This record gives sequence, C-alpha cells and structure tokens, in this order.
Amino acid sequence: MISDKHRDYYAGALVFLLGIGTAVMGSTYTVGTLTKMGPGFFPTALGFLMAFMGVLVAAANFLARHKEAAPEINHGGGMQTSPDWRGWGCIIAAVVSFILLAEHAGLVFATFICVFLGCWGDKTARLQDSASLALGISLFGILLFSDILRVQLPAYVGNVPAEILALLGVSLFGYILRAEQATVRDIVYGVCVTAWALAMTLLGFVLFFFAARLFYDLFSSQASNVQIPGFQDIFLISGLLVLGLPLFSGLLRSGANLRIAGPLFGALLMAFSALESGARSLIGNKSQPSTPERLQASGMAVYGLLFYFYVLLMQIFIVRGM
Amino acid sequence: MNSHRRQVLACGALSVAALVCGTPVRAQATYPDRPVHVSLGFSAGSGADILARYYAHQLELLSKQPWIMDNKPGATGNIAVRYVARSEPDGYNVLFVANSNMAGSRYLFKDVPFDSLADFKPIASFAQIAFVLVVAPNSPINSIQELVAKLKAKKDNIAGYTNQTAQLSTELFKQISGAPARAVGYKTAADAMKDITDGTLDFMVLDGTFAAGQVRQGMLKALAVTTAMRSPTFPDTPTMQEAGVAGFEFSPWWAVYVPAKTPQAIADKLEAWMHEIARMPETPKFLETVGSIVNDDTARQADARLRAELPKWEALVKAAGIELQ
Amino acid sequence: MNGFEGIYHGFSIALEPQNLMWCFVGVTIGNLVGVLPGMGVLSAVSILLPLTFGMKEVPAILMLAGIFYGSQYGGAICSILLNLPCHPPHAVTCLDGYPMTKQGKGGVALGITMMGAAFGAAFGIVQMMFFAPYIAKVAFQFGAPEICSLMLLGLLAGSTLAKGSPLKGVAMTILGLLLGLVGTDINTGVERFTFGMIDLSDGVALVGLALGIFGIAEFLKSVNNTAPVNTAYTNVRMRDMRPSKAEMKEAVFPILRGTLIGSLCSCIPGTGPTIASFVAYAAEKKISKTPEKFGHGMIAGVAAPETSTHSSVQGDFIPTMSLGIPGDAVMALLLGALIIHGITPGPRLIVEHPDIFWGLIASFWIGNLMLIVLNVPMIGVWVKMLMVPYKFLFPSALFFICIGVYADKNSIYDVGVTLFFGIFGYLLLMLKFEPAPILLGFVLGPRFEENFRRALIISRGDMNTFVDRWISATFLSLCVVLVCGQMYVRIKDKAPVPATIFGLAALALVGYLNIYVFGLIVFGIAAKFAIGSMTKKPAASAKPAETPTARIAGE
Repeated sequence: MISDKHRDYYAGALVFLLGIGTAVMGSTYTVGTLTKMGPGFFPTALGFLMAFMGVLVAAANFLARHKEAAPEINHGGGMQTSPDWRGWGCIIAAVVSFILLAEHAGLVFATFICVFLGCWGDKTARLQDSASLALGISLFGILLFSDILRVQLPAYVGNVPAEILALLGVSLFGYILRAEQATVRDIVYGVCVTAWALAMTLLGFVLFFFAARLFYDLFSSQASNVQIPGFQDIFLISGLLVLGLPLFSGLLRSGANLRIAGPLFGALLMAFSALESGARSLIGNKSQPSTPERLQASGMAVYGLLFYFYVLLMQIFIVRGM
Repeated sequence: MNSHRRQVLACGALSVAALVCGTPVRAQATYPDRPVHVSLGFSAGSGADILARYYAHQLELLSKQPWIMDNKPGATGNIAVRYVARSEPDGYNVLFVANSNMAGSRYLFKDVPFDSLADFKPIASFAQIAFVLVVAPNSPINSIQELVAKLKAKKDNIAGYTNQTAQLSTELFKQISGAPARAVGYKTAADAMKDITDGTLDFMVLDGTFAAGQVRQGMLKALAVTTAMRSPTFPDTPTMQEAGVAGFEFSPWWAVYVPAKTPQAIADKLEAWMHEIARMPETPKFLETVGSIVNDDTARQADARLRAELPKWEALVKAAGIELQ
Repeated sequence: MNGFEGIYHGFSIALEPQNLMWCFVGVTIGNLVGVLPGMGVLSAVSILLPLTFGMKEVPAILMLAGIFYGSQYGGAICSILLNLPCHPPHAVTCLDGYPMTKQGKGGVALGITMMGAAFGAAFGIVQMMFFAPYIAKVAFQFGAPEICSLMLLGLLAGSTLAKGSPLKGVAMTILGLLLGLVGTDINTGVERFTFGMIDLSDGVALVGLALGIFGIAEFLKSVNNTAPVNTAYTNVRMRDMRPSKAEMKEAVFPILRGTLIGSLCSCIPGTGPTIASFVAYAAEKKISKTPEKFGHGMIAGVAAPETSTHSSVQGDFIPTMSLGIPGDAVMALLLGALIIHGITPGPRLIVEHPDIFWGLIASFWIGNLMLIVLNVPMIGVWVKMLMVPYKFLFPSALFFICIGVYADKNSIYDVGVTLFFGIFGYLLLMLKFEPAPILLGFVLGPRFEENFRRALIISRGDMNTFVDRWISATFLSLCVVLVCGQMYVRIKDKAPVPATIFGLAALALVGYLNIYVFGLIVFGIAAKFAIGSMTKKPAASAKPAETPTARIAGE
C-alpha cells in the first residue's frame, strides 16, 4: 500500500512526532539535572533523541538514491497489497467483543463471539466453519480455563447458563449436520469415535487412579488422601480430552466424520450439564464446594496426567493419518 | 433431507427437555445463598492475600457458602476498589482493602474513580500490619534515639522505602524526629536488601511480613515497629512511641467494605461474622505468621479510623513532595 | 551438609511417592500453561497457590516450583512454530525460530531447544547444589551502579538486535524505552504518561505489549494473505527432528555461552529469564562471524536464548532459597507458600529446613527429566499444528491471547492494551520496522533508569560511583569496546558511502542515546579505568567530561 520510495519518509515522520510528543509531555514533569534527576529527565532526553532518530531515518532515505534491492525474505506472504478491511475489521471486532463481553456476558459467550468473528475475517470461511470452530473453542475454553485453570471470569452470567448452552449446542449441531450433508453413516461413525475415545480416556483414568492408589498404599505409611473425584469431574475431564481430538483432526481436513464428533460431543456435554444442574436444583442442593476443595489432591494429578494421555492419543491419531 | 429435519427436530426437542429440567425453582433464601466474591487489590500469595484468604476461609465456614477471592492487582490496588464501588450492592461483592487505598489514594492520584467515604459502607477493620524500621545488622546503632542523633549529625542521609505507605512512614518519622534524610525508592524489598545490609542506606522502613525472617535470623536489626502496640512478630522491638518518637502511629490496616447501598441487614450480618472471627483463638496465631495484629473494630470505629487518617495522609503526601499531575 | 550428602538426602525426600506425584503434577501443569499464549507462570502459580494451603510444605513447594520451570519448556513452542511469544522470555526465540520453521526446520529448532533446556537446567541445578552460598555473595556485589552499567551494556549490545536498517532498530529500542516509562515513577511517585488512566499507573503490561506487537499485528498482516509455512515439511518423523551432526556442532557453543549468561543474570536480583534471553541473543549476534544471517534462521539464535532462559530459571531459586530474598514475583509467591506453612524464609533456610532445600534440588533433577520425557515425543505433535489451516488457527490463537492477557492480572483493560499495540504494531510493520527491539528497550529501560537515579542518590550525586566499583567499570569498558569494535568493522567493510555515514551516525547515537550523556562519560571512564588501575589514585579525567554535559542536561 505504501511505496518503497516514500515509506521511510512516513516512518521518519512517525518516529519524529512520537519523539517530540514525548519530549513535550515529559518536560511538564520536573526535569532536574543529570545528577539530581527529576521524573521528567529521561522522557525529555529520550524524546528529543527519538525525534532526532526520526530525522535521520528520513534523511537516510533521501540520501540513498536507489535502494539496494535487499533480498526480501517473504514473511507470511509479505504485506497486503490492498487494504483488507474485512480481515482487519473482523480481527479488531473479535478482540473488542471479547473485551466488552467477557466480564458482563461470561466466558462462553465472549469466546464464541470472539472466535466466530475472528474466523469470519478469512475470506474463505464458511458460516459452518466459523460456527463449528467457535463452538469447539468455547467448549474447550470453558473446560480448560474455567474448570481447570480457574480463570477469574464467570463462565456464564445469569442463572440459566446450561440451558442456553444446550440449546445453542444442539441447534448448531443440527445445522452443521445439515450443512455438511452428513449421512447416517457419518453420524454413526462420529458417535463411535466419540464413544471409543471417551471409553479410552475413562479407562486410562481409572487405571491411573488405581495405580496411584496402589502405589500410595504400598509406599506410604500415612493414610491415603487421594480422593475419588466426582462423576461430574470425570465426565468433564474426559470431555475436555475427547472434545479436542475430533476438533483437531477435523481441522486437518481428514473428512467430515470426525468433524461431526466434536459438535456431537459438545452437544452431549451441554445436555448433560443442563440435566445435572436441573437435578441439582430438584434435590435442592445449590451449594457448590469451594475452589480448594474441588481441586483437592488427586483431582489435579489426574487432570495433569490425562492431559498427557490426551496428547499422546492425538499423536497416535494424527501421525497414523486417521 | 427428511431424516435430517427429523434429527434437527429431535435435537430441538432434547434441548427443550433439558431446558424444562434445568429451570430450577429459585426462591429468595437468606443471605448468602450463592457464592460471595471478595475483591482484593493484591496478587495471590502476597502477605495481604494470605491474610485475606484466612478470613475468607473462616467466613466460608460461618456462612456455609463459598467465598471466592478475586485478585485484582493493578494501580496499587485501586482497580479492585473501583470494581467494588461500581458493583451491585447486594452483599455478594465485598472488598478487602488497605488504608493506603481508602485514605491515601485521593491524595496520591489525580483522578480517583471512587470516593472512599461516599461509595462504601464499612463493615470492620480487622488487622494491622507492623512495618519495622531497620538498620544494617553490624551497625553500632541500637535504638531510635541513637539513630536520630546520628542522622542529625550527618545531614546527607539516605532512607529506603518500597511502597507508598513505607514512604509516608519515613516522612512522618522525619517530621516528628526532625532527622534529615533523602528517600530512595525500590520496587521490591529484595532489591533493597543489598543496600540496607551493607549500610548504604542509613535506615529503612520495611514490610513486617518480609522483614520477620531477616530480623529473626540476624540479617537486619529492627529498631522500632510503626504500630501503636507491640507486634507479636517482633516481641522485643519497641513501638515508635516507646522509643521516643512521640505521636507516631502509621501502619497499614485492613478493612472490609461493601458498596454503600448494600442493605443494612446484610452489613450487620457480615459485621457479626467478622467479630466472631476476630475472637477465635486461632486468629491471632495465624496473623502472627504474616506479621499482623488482630483488630476488633466495629463498623463505626473503622469509619472513624478512616476519617481520622485522611488529614494525616494529606499532610504527609504534601510533605513527601509527591506531585499530582 | 555438603552438596553430595545433601543431594542424597534430597533424593530420599523427593522420591517419596507423594512428593513425586506433586512434582509431576507441577511440571505437567507448568508445561500446559507454557504452551498457552499469555497465560503466564505468575497467574498459574497464583491460581494454584490456594490449593497448596491444605498440603504439607515440601510437596507444596515442589509443585509450585515445578510449574515455574515446567512452563519454560512449553514456552518456546509457539514462538518457534507460530511466531507467537507465549512468554516474554521466549519472545527473542521468535526471531530465528520462526524463520527456521518456514524453512521446514521447526522440528530441528524444537529439538535444539530441548537440548539447550536440558543443559541449561542441569547447569543451573549443579550451580545451586554446590555454589549457592557463593553465588548469593556475588549477588550482594550488585548494587545500583553495577546493575545500571549492565543494563547499559545490554542496551548497547541489543540495539541492533533485529535485522534490517540499524537506524530503525535504534528508533525502536528508544520507543521501547519510552513505553517502559509509562506508569508511576518509583522515586517520586509521579505518574508519567498515564493520560489520567488509573489502569496505566502500573505501567504497560509486558505480556500485552509482546502479544500485541508480535501476535495481533502478525494476524492483521497475514489474514487473507497467507502462504506462511511450507506444509510439505510437517510430516515429521522422529528421525527428522533430531538435529544433524553439523547442526549440533553449530549449537554447542551458543548453548555454553547461553548457560553462562543465564546463570550470571540469575545471580542479580530482579534480573530474571527475560533479560537473560535478550542479552544472550544479543551477545550471540555480536560474537557471531555471520551476524547478518541472524533473523533468517540461525541455530545459534535459538539455542543461546533458550538455554539461558532455562539456566536463569533454575538459578533464580538461589537467592530465594539461600537468602530468603525473592528474585521476582513468582519467587515471592513461593516464599508466600512457605510463610503459610509457618516457615520463615531467611538466610538460614538451608540449615533449618534442609528437607525443603535439598528436596527441591532433587526434585529439579526429577522434574526436568520428566519434562524431557514428556516433551520430546510431543515435538512431532506440535509440528503437526502447522497443518491446521490458518483460517482456523488464528481465531483460536486470538482467543487464547485475549484470555491469557486477561489472566495475567485479571484485568480486561490489558486486553485493550494488547489490541492497541496490535494495531500500532501493524502500522510499524507496514513501515518496515522490526518490533523485537521494542521489547528489549521495554525490559531493560526501566531498570536502567531506576538504578541510574538510585545510584546517583546513594552516591550523593557523584558520577564516579560508576567507575569506582570494579564490576561496574568492567561493564562500562565492555561498552566502549563494543562501540569502538562496531565502528571499526563498519569502516573496514567499506560499506557504500551513505550507508557508512549513517551507520556511523547510528553507532555514535547508540552510545549517545541510551543515556543521552553517557557517551562522553564512557570515554572518560575508559581513561580513568586505565589510569586508575595503575596508580590506584582516582584520576580526575572523568570529572571535566561530566560538568558541561550536566549543564546541558539541566537546560
């Protein structure tokens, strides 16, 4: 967009203006002397220096009549040749929407909008690409950041989160099935993959848990404080692991089958959490255990280990070219 | 196509079912019936955070609801204060805050986005942290009197500080004792350790949490604590007043606030809990490990404490030459 | 207890099943956090700290420490493969790591990283085992003048960090220095360049700045415009990831030098892995026979900074554990965890609580071994990440950046800062500026100013304080050697006339800029140092040099 000939003039002007601005603003603080510096000394000095550099940059461009044709190593395809308003607008809008939504509308919603908009910035993105990516990432995000890493953002705001999630997930799933023109075979296949991966992770989980327990009882004289995590925890962990897998391989364009498994599992998960919260409200037990308790002992160990299993599993899938 | 439509419909039905199941009966129960969020202007693991977490844990046991700590460090804690000032006054947003934010910020910053008197309802002021005035371990000085005498004789003294409360403590000490000293700032106490132990700094006012270990193990010599009463963390160290600096009392204290419009019933409940915790036998023991002393102030006393401190801060900020822009 | 007895004792503690398990948990979580952009060690440790309240002190500290060094292993991955500096210490790895990826050598770069990590960490641990008390003493030699001179050396060496026009590189370094000024001035409490915004009074967030100018700016540049990486190379087998003999040879000396720089930086309080990796890269470029190849995929440019990061991370524990003085915020958190368990950190920690000190050292060995076992097989998986189409990759990364920056200080404002620097960074890219020196200036600048002013207050305004101390004087004479050497090279190379003139001008400026008036003093100092070492009597040659400059500065 900017010709090589004029670029350094603009560059010099920018540096010059920044420098002058800083120097002027810096000199409003007490400047002092070299040995008795005030807070304004460094800003003023550096500002003038920066302005001088700006002049030099522009002057160097003026003096060098012909630019040496420096071998331009192509970084990611170089700069755009024409303004790409859609890409820029979408990326900026994605971050802005995250800023606006994260605290007020909750992490899930903010993530969905952010990823959706970001993805929409690509000219080749189809609606279902954006939607399935956004759905996958927001589920992955909530499990990873809310449930494991406990980032201080509310997962969702308001009192009907699980229901909305379930509705959203299921309708998106339906839409994707249609858009992908999935056949019954695809769906069966997706269910199988999901079930298989879920079973494998559960198996790994159970094995690890008993191994840890055994290990502990054998070597430790103290009473074991390894607790059995709740069913919900197991489900969520397995969900995290399984969810990423089809998403990841789906993105590798290895066929629609796996792409279906991701949203499918997401929908299942959401339905489950909706049912769970419903059951909880029926029982009337509304209190949730506090953070330290929920993260007790084995829970974390298991999270950590399963993460590794998960990646290994992914590796097997991908490297074998599934 | 037909089968797809059926699937979509089935999915929709499923979600409606989920929706119906998931809509719980939400009756208005007694406060608190859901997790309470505590905002704190310090990062997790700092001395202040450890202290606050102890109280949050006790409150959790008393209220039978989770108390969730939201650490919002940034702008020396003012971000957390601003957050609570603007939050719903429903009793579920509670602020644990130090006096430097409530009393000092209005003089230290130009545009403070909250008014510590109008925007908040005090609950209790629950702890004080002792700052200690320390000198190099091999220094011949053993008391405040000797220090003041030496500082007056030498003129070009240098004193270190690590945060604004310590800076203003230094200023107050200079004012009352009349000892001249130039203050130099450090980002962390760790940065200052070299300079204070080898005598480059003539004295320094340090955070008691950090200083406790160093003093106990002989890396630093403590001359006085800044609180009005002796600190159990430094049992042998006199207070400033005992050491002859008349009228010196300047130390960080911690208080609980809620937004001003919070119902009085909720505030009373919180206040009662805070008193219960202050009277627990394990509370002073725990606070000692982080260099703090229990305060059992009522809401009214906490408010009076804040109002009494405001002019003090204003005068000290001016004297320390901190300019507002 | 000497080193060998101690480590024996330590292993008996670290191998207890419970401790072993928590160590593993720590390194795994650290590794996971390391891969996520922006999700810093500090936030991970502070989130998990409450978990340790219910644990015993040894497993608690092993786990928290594990998060710290574990996260460094993941940090290089995104830098090398995606040009996304997940953690500030790894920002400089982008410069040569990403070009290597584009040449299809991403796996090799990661392999080299692992080697460097293993070596750097091992060196750091050995150092802590045997020399902790001595190194703690060295740390006490570094006062304000020494740190100030060292930062100056770092700035001088690094101002030509990036490829491309040196003038523009210098301009970007100054820009970084200026950005570092934002926030409350530590010496007077005055707020500078905050534009009345209270959120800026702590300064610009480093994570936000780095992810803005590298991450978001890069997305703005590449969206709809990509042919980023040749995917033909992504089908990596175990064999392809192993660096060839020639590549190993190329990496050996950078790894050694990186280790030394890292361990030096770790001795100095407040000089953590970020500064170490920048200094290591700059030093490598200065030493190299082919500096022009840096930025186009030099193995040394990956090996040296990565190694120094790891060695510095392990070394960071030395002042913390042996003196009870935390080197940085993460270390302060670790000490906080000890305080909760009723242990007062202090200079006698090693004697009073040998379980913690030696158990921790033994767990370093175990943890690093675990990390290598965890990470080496994963290199292939990470390289696969490049096969994900860009249109899916960048929106996901965008989200991870947002939440990572948020989690750093739980501040949504910082996400806005990131966006601002993303757009600003894109503008700079359009004008063909290299963003890396901004980070250098940003990291070193504030420490330079702070220590310069502090040194002068402590010395009661006497400039000689920088020369009277031998460590500081050594660094300053190195600065002189550096500047002169560079001029000599420029002249000898007979570069085209305008280029030479401006190269010289730039170099003179490099000396001039970094402290505005230091250039003159530096030469005075060199003379004084030479004379002073012979006569022992302080020569006065530095004095006349500074008087006129001081007057100029006052005006």
